Amino acid sequence: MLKINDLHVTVGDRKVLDGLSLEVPTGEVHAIMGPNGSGKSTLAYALAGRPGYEASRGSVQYDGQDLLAMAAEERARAGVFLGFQYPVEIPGVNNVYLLKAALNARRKAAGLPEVDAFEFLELVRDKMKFMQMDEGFLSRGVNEGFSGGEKKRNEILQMLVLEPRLAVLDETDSGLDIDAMKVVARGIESLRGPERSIVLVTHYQRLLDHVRPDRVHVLSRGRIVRSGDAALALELERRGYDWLTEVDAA
Amino acid sequence: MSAIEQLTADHAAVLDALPAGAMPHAARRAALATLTAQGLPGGREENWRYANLRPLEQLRFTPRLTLEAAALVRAAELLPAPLPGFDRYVIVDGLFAVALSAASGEVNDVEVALQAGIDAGYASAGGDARFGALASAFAPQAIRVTARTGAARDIEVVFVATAAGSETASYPALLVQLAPNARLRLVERHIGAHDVATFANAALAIEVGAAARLRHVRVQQAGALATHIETLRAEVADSAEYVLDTIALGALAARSTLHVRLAGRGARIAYGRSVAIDGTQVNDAAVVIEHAAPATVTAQDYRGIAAGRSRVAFNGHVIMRANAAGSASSQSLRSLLAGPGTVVDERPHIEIYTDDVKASHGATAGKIDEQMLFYLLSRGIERRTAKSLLKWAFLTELVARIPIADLRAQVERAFAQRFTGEDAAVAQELV
Repeated sequence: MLKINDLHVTVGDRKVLDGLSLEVPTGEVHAIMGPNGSGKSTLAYALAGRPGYEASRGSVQYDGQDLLAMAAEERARAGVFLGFQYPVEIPGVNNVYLLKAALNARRKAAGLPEVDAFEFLELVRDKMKFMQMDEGFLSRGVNEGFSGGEKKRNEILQMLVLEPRLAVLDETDSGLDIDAMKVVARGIESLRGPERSIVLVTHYQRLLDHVRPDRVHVLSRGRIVRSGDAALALELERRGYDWLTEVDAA
Repeated sequence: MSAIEQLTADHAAVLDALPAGAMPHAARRAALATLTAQGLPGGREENWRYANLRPLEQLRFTPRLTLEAAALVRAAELLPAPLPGFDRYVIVDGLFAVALSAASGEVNDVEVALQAGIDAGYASAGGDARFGALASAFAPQAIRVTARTGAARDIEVVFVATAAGSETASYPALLVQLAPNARLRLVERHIGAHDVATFANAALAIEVGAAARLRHVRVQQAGALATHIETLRAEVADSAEYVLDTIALGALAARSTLHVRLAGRGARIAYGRSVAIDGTQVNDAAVVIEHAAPATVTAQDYRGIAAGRSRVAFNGHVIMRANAAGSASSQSLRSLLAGPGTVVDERPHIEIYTDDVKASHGATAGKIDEQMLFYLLSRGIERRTAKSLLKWAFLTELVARIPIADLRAQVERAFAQRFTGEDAAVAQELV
C-alpha cells in the first residue's frame, strides 16, 4: 500500500526528514512513535501534500502510484486521509457541506455518482451516533468553537464517512481524556480491514492500548531507527526514547 | 465651481422652500456655515484618506421637495421583499412615501413620526461630522422612531434613491430613541437605481436608554453609480446594549462615519461590518467608539473583501477615557484581496487613558488562509472550489449572526450575486 524510500524533507531551512524509509502493507496498522521534533508530523504532512513539506529527495509509492507527484486534493480523492493534530476552524463552511463535498469528490474520482442526499444523511447520522457526537455539530462551521476533543472526534467522523484506503492520523490521541480516547480508538478500530492501511503517529503508547498496531516504528532525527511489534511500544513507555536516540547518535 | 461653492449656491436657492420645523432656516444656515468654514474633507486628512469624494465635484445638492408618481413607481420596483413581522417605512429620495409603507397600526409602544429636518448636534461634533452638518442644512424630512419603556418592536426603514426627477441628491435622516428598558429591532436599508449617479447623504442619531437594547442591521445596496455618505452618532446609556451589524455592497463611492459613545456604566456595543465590493468601487469606514464610563464593552468585527480594482478601508478607533475603568475592547479586522488591482487598508487604533482596561486587537489583510485551504484540499475538495468556499465563508461569517432569517437569506443572495464563475456556483449551493 505505502512504500517510502529515502525520503528527505526540509521545512523552511531545517532538514526534518533525512532519508526515511518505511513500508506499510495493505491491511496493517503501523504506529510511528518518537520524541518531540523527530519529524512525525512532517511525515504526516509530506504524505498528505501540504505546501512547504515537499520532498527534496526520495520516493513515495501509494498503491503503485507516485504519491509525491500528486496534488493534495488528488491524494485525498485517491483515498489518502490525514487526521490533523490541530484541525483548523473554518467558520462559514458547515460540517455537513464539507462532508458531502468531500465524499462526492472521492466518489467522482472512483467513477461513482454523487451520493443521494437522503442516504448521505442516514450515513452521517449513523457514524455520528457511533462517535457519540451531537447532531447539532452538522450545522455548525467546520470545527468552529469545538473543544480539542470534539475536533479530534470530528476528524475520525470524517474518516469514517470517507472510508480512506490509507489513513494517516497525526497525534489523534493528544488532548483527549480517557473516555474520548476510547471513542476515538473504537472509530479507528472500526475502519481496520484487509483493504486498508492505517498509520498512527503518536508520542505516547496509550492509544496503542486500544488500537493494537501490527508494527511499531521509532522515528528519530528524521529517520526510522527501530522497528518492532506492539511490544516495542510498551518498551518505549517503560524506558523512554533516550536509549534509542543515543544509540542512533553513537 | 467647487463643491463648496455649488452647495452654497444650491442652499441659497432652495432655503426658502425647505420646511422649518425642527430646523428653522437660521439653524440650517448655521449648519451650512459650519461646513463652509471647515471646508469639505479631503484626501490630506488622515480620517478621509481612503474615501473617494471626487464625485462631489460634479454633484448638485438640492433635495427633492415633492414626490412624483414616477419616483414612487420606480421605488416600488426596487423594494426588496418585506420582512415578516416588521413594520415598513419607505422613504423615497428623502421623502416619506406613505403609499409604499406598511405599519401594523399597533403603535402604542413605539412612535414613528416625521419631522422637518435633522439637528443632531453635528455642527459641534467636530470635523468628521461635517456631512452630518450638510444633512442638517439640506434634509427636508427626518424619520423619528421613539420606543417607550417596555416596548419590543421590529421596524424596517428603507431609503430608496431613484433620481426619477431632476434632483439626484437625497438626505436620508433617521433619529432613533429608546427609552429605558425598551427593545427594538431596526433594519435600515439603502437601495437605489443603478443607471443614475445619485448622491445620498444619510444622517443618523441614536440614543439607547438605560438597560435598553437596540438590534440594528444596516444594509447598504446603493446604486452602482451612487455616491453614498453616512454619518451616524450614537449614545448608549447604563447597562444598555447596542448591537449594530452593517452589510455594505453598493455605491461607487461609499463612506461611513460612526461615532458611538458608551456613556453609562456597563454600556455595550457589538459592531460588525461586512463589505464586498468589486469593479472600481471604493468603500471607506471610520468608526470611533468612545468608552466614557466604567465597565463598558466594545466588540468590533470587520470583514472586507475587495475584487477587481476596488478599494476597501476600515479605520477602527477605540478611545478609553480616564473614567472607563474596568472596560474591555476587542477588535478583529480582516480583509481579503480577491483581485489583481485591489487595495485594502485597515487601521485598528486604540487610545487608553486608564490602566484598568482590557484591550485586544487582531488585524489581517491578505489572501486566503493557507491552513484552511490545505484542510479543504486534504479532504479532496477541488482547489478552485475550496477557494470559493473560503471566500464565501469569510464574507458570511458575520452575516450568520443576524437574527432575522429572511434578511439573512436576502443578504446571502446579494453576496452570491457578487460572486462570479466558479465562486458563483459554490455560493449558489450555499445560499
